[in-house]
Amino acid sequence: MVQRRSSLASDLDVQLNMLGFLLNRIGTMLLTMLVISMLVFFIAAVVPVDPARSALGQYAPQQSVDELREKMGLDRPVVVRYIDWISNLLRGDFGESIHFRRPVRDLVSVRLERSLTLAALGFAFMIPLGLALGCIAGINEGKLLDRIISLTSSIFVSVPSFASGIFLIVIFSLWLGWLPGVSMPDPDDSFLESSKKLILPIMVLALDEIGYLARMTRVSMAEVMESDYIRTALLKGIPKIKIIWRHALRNAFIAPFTAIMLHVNWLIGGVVVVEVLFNYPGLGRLLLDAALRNDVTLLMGGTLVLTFVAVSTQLIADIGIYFMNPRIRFE
Amino acid sequence: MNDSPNSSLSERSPTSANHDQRKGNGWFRGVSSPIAWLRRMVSELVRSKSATIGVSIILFWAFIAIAAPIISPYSPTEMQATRLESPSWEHWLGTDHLARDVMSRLFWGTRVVVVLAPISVLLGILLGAPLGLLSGYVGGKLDTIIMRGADILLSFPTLLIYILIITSIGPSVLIVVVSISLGSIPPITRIMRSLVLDVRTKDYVSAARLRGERRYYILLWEILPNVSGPIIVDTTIRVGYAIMTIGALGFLGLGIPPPTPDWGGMINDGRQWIFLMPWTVLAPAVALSSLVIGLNLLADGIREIAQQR
Repeated sequence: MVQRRSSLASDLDVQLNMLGFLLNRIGTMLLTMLVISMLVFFIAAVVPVDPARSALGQYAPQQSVDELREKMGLDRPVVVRYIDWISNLLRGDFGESIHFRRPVRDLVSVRLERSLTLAALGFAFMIPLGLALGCIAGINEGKLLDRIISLTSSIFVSVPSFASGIFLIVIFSLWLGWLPGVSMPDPDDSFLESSKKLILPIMVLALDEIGYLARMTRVSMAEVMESDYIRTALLKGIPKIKIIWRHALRNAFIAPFTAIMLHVNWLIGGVVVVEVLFNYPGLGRLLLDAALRNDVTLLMGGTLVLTFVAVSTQLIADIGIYFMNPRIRFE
Repeated sequence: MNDSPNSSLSERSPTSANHDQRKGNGWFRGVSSPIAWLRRMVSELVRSKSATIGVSIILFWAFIAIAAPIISPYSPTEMQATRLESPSWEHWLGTDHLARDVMSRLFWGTRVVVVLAPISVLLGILLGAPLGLLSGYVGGKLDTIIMRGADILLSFPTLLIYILIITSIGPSVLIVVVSISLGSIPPITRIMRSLVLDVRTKDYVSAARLRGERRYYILLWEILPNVSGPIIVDTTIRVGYAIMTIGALGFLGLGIPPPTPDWGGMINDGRQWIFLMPWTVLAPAVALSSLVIGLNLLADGIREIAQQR
């Protein structure tokens, strides 16, 4: 007698498979964070500019610089410093910023919140718009609407975020005067004021990836529309809109969605550029300033936090894909 | 069977079972000389509208890069009469905050971008392609290690790595080129590997192996020519990315050190004066965008041509 394999998730094999997958992914993430922490630390430790000297200035006497080095623990061997740093990190102590003389943790968390807000809002605009445009293009493949959308996407993909930011500032701030060109959040601002300040950065962030997302969605949608089951449904007489809404969309969205989630690294670069361009006080700008000022502790701590955000987003995306796509689960 | 003897982008092998035996090995199938090869390339390119527009844009900027010393009306670093002058007959794009002619700076800045971007990508390919080839063809432990390494490096936000490296060692042309090449290596390795995995199951590879060809022969003359199509498309797009990155680094203040004119740096410097004289930033922004658009159009065109085969 042939034993039927149950396809319910309660099957022990499948459950073990899932567990194995989760452990594998989380393990990879931990390994990645470890390697990256080493990379970050050793690159920063190679800094030819002495952090103690940067803190005290060019004209401080060598003796006080040496004393500060000793106090900061900079004269110990690199490996010892690394282990020290990591163990502090794991306990939640990110060290103190050389420039601000405040705990890195406080500085980073405030800025992180702002950056995440900006990124989330950007996503909120980009994803629906990109998916929608790509869908429309995919459904109308070959026709004029598709060509227009494809051409515009190609252009948007090629324009880097700082360039599009400049164009938008010139159009909306300089020529039209509708929106401010700088985005320092002010607690005294009314809601309208602060929203106006955020519109341009969000637009730039969204434009950065919309082209890419629209393209991927278009390809995916076009493929899905050609597939057999859609053709069957059409031949059965089901109205096209219903087909799209109930069947096509779901399948077409998987590929672009996963592509975007895995594209997070590029997006972080975009966030940094946007923050610098609009003077938005987020984590990206903090890190850049820290790097330029050689504030090693702040730079390392902040970079690690940002990388952690990127890596965990990818992890969540990976897990999401796994659960969304039954085919992968049963490999 | 891929039997289009006149295509340069279809699969071929020196010893394929194609009855139409032509001269040449896997790379130069069907041509009698490099000139004929070039001519065939050009005739194929012209067929695609995107490719033609793309190539025109690229050639335009390449020309400006080469001719910069001759066609620039002024020196890019010399101070002129007035600061932040609007576009006028003497200065077609105006002057910047240090009274330098914007157009001349734009032209000279082209050299930096047009030279550094391809070099960085080429370096990335030189290092990444062999890794991908080996990883895909040899497989096994080597493959796992290389892929793990590539994955880990890919999880790191690229711009952050660049910021880290450049601020640690100090901005210079060499560091920018090295950083961008290092950043391109993991994706190139991955793409190469997946292409090789695809190709290595083909019959002509098995045939070569049965003949007793050495590994390097197979890699170089059987596999490599047949992955070159997609690689070329990817390279073109990657040069576009490199240009955007160079611009972004310049914009963040981490690019080529002054006074060398650098498009990203120009945007950064001119940012504060955008309301007085937007052309200091508009000109380089438009230039950068157009160049990347050109490259992407070319890549699209090449892809179109390859698909038509």
